[in-house]
Amino acid sequence: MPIPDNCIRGIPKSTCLEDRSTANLTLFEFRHNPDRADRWNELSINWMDDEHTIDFTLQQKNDEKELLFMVGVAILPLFDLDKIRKRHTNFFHYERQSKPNNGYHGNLLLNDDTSKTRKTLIRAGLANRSEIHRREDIINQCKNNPRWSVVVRRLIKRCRNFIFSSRKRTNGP
Amino acid sequence: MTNFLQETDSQSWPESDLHFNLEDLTKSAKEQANVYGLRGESNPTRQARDIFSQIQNPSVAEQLSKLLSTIYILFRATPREAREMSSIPPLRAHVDEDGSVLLEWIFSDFRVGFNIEPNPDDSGWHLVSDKTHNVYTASGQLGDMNEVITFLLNLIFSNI
Repeated sequence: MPIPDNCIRGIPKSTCLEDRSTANLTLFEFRHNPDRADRWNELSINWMDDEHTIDFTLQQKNDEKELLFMVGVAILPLFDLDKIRKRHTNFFHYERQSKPNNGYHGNLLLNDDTSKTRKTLIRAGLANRSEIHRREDIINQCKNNPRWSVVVRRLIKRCRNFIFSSRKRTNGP
Repeated sequence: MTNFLQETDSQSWPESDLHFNLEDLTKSAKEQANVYGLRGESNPTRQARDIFSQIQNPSVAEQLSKLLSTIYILFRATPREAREMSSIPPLRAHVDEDGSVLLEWIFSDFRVGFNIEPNPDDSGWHLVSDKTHNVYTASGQLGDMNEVITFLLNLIFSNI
């Protein structure tokens, strides 16, 4: 399955945000997975394959049936992930890793050999490129527009505009 | 000059609205800085000091104390007008899962941060700018704190 234009990182705690629209580094904590044979540490994401991904992510629950991402979601454009990957070749990557209960699932990957400073730099890059959408804001938008898909399409459009303007800035004179 | 790793898309220092360039690093605050009013932090390290109670590792605590003191002293040493006319946000601190401390200064167009690790050789600083400007990242070891903080404060005052 191809990689879509955006991925989503769920926001579990309000302490992961500095303010309503700014993520801090604690949202991007890479973890060692003992089941992995290679040297990549993981950070779970959902690939934004369709308009239901945000809703799915916001509804994800842990074993105690509590919502995993109470605060909302951060959307990261693939365009920016590729920039980071290009800049930190061999240290940063991403993958699709569908799970039986989550076909959207994937990981951002950080090599175990990455220096602490480079790791922080990559995390800061991810935080800087995140577009934050709080649960309450999404719900309010949905109240105003009962068609969930319309709201999500708007979010995707905003991301696309962001990517487009970002590309223009990068490639501009 | 501070040694650091600089990375941009263009392989050269950006020449857009941001003023990140080598010449500026030796200058103090620019006169053309935007007028934000008197809302800058008088002590941007105050909030970060609250984190000490959560730090387990003595080496991390010692380095953090030295870093915050250095930032405060050098911040106070910058021209008063520059401090008052700029909008320096508070330095935010977080204890990471591995016991290290992350410090971040988040500005509208860029962020400057520090990672304080149990082994001082692993501690470092970083700069990430993006979103509305050319992508620019730089990082380095903390090493000589005076030199690093002077470099970063000059850069901050030149770009806010």
